[in-house]
Amino acid sequence: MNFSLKKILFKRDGTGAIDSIWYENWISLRKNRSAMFGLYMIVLFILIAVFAPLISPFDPLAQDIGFRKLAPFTGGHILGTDDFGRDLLSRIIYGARISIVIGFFSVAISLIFGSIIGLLSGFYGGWFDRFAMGVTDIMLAFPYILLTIVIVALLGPTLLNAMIAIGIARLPQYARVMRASVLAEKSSEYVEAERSLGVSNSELIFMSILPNCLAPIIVQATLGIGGAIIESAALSFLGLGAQPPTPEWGLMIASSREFISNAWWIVTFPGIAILLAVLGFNLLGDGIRDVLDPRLKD
Amino acid sequence: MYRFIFKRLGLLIPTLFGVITLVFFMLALSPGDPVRVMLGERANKEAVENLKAEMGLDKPMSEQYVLYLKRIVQLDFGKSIKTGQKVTDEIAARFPATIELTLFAMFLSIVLGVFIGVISATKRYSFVDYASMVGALFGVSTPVFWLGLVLIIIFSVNLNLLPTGGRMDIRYYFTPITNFYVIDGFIHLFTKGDPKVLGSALVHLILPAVTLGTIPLAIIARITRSSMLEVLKQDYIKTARATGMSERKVIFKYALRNALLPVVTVIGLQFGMLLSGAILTETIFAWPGIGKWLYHAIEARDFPAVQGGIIVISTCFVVINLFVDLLYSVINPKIRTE
Amino acid sequence: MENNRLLDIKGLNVSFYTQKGVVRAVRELDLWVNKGETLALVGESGCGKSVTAASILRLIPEPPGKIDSGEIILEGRDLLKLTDKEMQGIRGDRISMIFQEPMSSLNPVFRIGDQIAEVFITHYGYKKKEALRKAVEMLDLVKIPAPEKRVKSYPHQLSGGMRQRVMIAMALSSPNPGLMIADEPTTALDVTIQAQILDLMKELQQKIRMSLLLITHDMGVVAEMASRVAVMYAGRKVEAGDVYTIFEKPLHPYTVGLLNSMPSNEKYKHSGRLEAIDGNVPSLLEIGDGCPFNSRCKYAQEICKKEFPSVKDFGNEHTVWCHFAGEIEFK
Repeated sequence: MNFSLKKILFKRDGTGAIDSIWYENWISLRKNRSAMFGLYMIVLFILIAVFAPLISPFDPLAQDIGFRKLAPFTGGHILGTDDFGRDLLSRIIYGARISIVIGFFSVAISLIFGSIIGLLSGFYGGWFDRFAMGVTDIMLAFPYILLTIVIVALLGPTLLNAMIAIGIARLPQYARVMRASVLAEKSSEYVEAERSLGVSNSELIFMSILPNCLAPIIVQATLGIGGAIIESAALSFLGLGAQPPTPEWGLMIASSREFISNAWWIVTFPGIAILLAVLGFNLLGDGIRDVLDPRLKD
Repeated sequence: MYRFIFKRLGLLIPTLFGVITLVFFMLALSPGDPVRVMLGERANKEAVENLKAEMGLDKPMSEQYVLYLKRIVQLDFGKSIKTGQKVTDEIAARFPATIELTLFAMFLSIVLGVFIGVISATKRYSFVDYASMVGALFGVSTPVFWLGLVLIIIFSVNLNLLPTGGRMDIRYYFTPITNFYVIDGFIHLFTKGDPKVLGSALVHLILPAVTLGTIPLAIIARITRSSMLEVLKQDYIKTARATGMSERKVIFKYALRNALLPVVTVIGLQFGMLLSGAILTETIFAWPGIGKWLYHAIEARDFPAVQGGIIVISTCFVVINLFVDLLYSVINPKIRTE
Repeated sequence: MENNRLLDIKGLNVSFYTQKGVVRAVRELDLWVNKGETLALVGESGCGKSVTAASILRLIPEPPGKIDSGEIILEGRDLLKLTDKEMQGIRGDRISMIFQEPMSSLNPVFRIGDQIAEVFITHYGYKKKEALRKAVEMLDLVKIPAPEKRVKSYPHQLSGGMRQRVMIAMALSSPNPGLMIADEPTTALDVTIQAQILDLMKELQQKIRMSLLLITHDMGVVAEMASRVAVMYAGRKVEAGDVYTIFEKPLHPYTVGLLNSMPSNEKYKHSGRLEAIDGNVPSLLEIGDGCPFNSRCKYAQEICKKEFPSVKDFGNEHTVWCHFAGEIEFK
């Protein structure tokens, strides 16, 4: 199989200039200020997560009974402490790690498995297609949160299972999108032409069809990472995801419900963290969608 | 069109069947022993065995499944472990509360969302456009349960303007007839001349409805705007203007009609999402609806209740989607005249 | 002779201000349509003819477009100075327009009867019922069979030719028909339908006594319909005159090229070969002040790159903008 990722991404034309559409899209994306802003937010977010031990002022799990529920800017705690005396800022910083893992892991599951199913469904059709579409129809018949609840109930309430549940619950969408793209590409003229030239199926899939189907999937995945973070927060809120004392942002909000009247910061700041993280992914995702969707070009 | 309707209706039964089956397997395969949960960790072995036999849990899976199907079809969801009441009764009692909240939230989000979307599209690049799109972006990025808590902190705790939860001030006494407190409030107003019940019902609705409706509002505003922009580029809008039609008519009659088509589908989706998102919002606002009830049921591992709740909510979701699909086929002339 | 003019465009300049630069779509255009006549505005895509048409009704999207300067006089009033409301009064009344793509020019969610009726409601103040009855009359006028039934159809239920008839019906519903602007009305239709539509337009024009500004790139259509012709290239008018003169003695190299590439023109079939004009229309972004045709012109010389030619009048209202018109015989 004559397949080279580098060749696709950095194709050069006769004069040596880079000719791939990916590079062109990247240039277009750079012009979109809000998308770039989102990208910077995401990069910042990843950096915070990676360097958490270095930048976090306190140990996120260290309880300090004498300093419970301190207001922000008191006692050296910039964002205050929670009801166990743990520094809020540190917990939020470490929470970034967890959120990144959640976001990327869940989306990876949906993306990889969903795309494979969608690809096989669209390309080969037949009984597999009917079966797969039937199952996805039923899955999509469930309201999303309930589906994740059902899956977590099946697997047991841990953070890992929550991530898996979110991944599985979003899977049908990726399968659908991929299948639709594959079907559209399959009947296009250049594919027919290549087929008549005797190009093998797998080469057809990887070199001709797949590259053109990636655009909507990429958009969906980017937006999906933000979605996964919110969804896992929701599951933690319901007690079905992260368990104490993990500094997961949703869990932090859930455990501090009782304190909204006297310690509002414990509830507010983790939520702001979620908001900013998801905002970054949404900005980037919107930007990518604008670049890749020809209809929106004015 | 009728072919489409029949096809869609035909899918209803298998879909519901699939939903029910999936729920069965969820509970049948989940770890943990429901009987132990019910009787407590220290129950003696004999009591456990007895209860198991009584609940039919010692039979093979296939038999259990058939029994389950028979029960569900008769709308028998069993009894709640926590309260001992019939699950169907518990759900029925709480249904109006959830519907009332969902309808209010939906109404808010549709009316405001479409309006904002249209204004944004027609006054592109204006302050209104940027402000509302930024707002919508924030709206879509916010976790709904956090938003509710923050609103409570601002408006209830700090400003003391609005109640922190519940549906009604407990000091007011009235006879709930429909269990839709707003309607009951009106009835109370007309029969007893007392507006306080109605007032309290509305005041209690504000924060939860705003919380629940924010995300759909953001989504609807965004999609209305992009749909409107797409429509305004079309040739038939040029034609309409060339015939001397007033700009207002062009936008609100000719353009909007077309732009709303995809919005209808989205609204339907949102409605379904709201119903299930109710589980979070109702919990925060102590709103006595199905959502809050389901939350406690999950917390308590009350299996029959959880089962019943999920099936009911999912069925509503399926039915709403069906309704939206049918509605779309009616309002889209291309499908209607097939 | 000037007061025989229904519409008089003087010095029109229209530009589009895009991210990539300023596109000067129409430059210093003078154009007029006499009462009762058919003027054909000819040129390739992108030459500015559609923009001109849209400017008359001020339908240019204001960002990014802009009518920089000029006058468009309709019966003594400068259309460019009217308020929006006054303009709305003119559109669909004294001036109507039909567009190129009948497929997309009709609103898909409204019945065609309702769409025609809207014109009557807007301009005559009719109520819905009366307007619908008028709509049936109009459908009959444009020769759509079974008009009472068709009135209830949706656009997607009609063929391309019928949709264009509906567009014509809408354009003719005006209370005071003066000028109809037809922007490539038959380009998107099958050849056989084209002939029907053109015949219909000719017949109706005479019946109602309107002027017709016909925009097209098809010289065959010009030969059939027009009494006068104006040729545009890259935003500028390059030749104008009555139809016979233009066909017999074209004096601008571009016009010659257009006529050469017509498959149906008898006079130019002598060699049995179709001649295409080499090259492409220059990008309107980079256009300088010389003659825009110079990059493709076989006879171009230094002066052509530097200066746009001034007008040369050859009598009988035959005007040409070319440095060498009349001096060199263009083939």
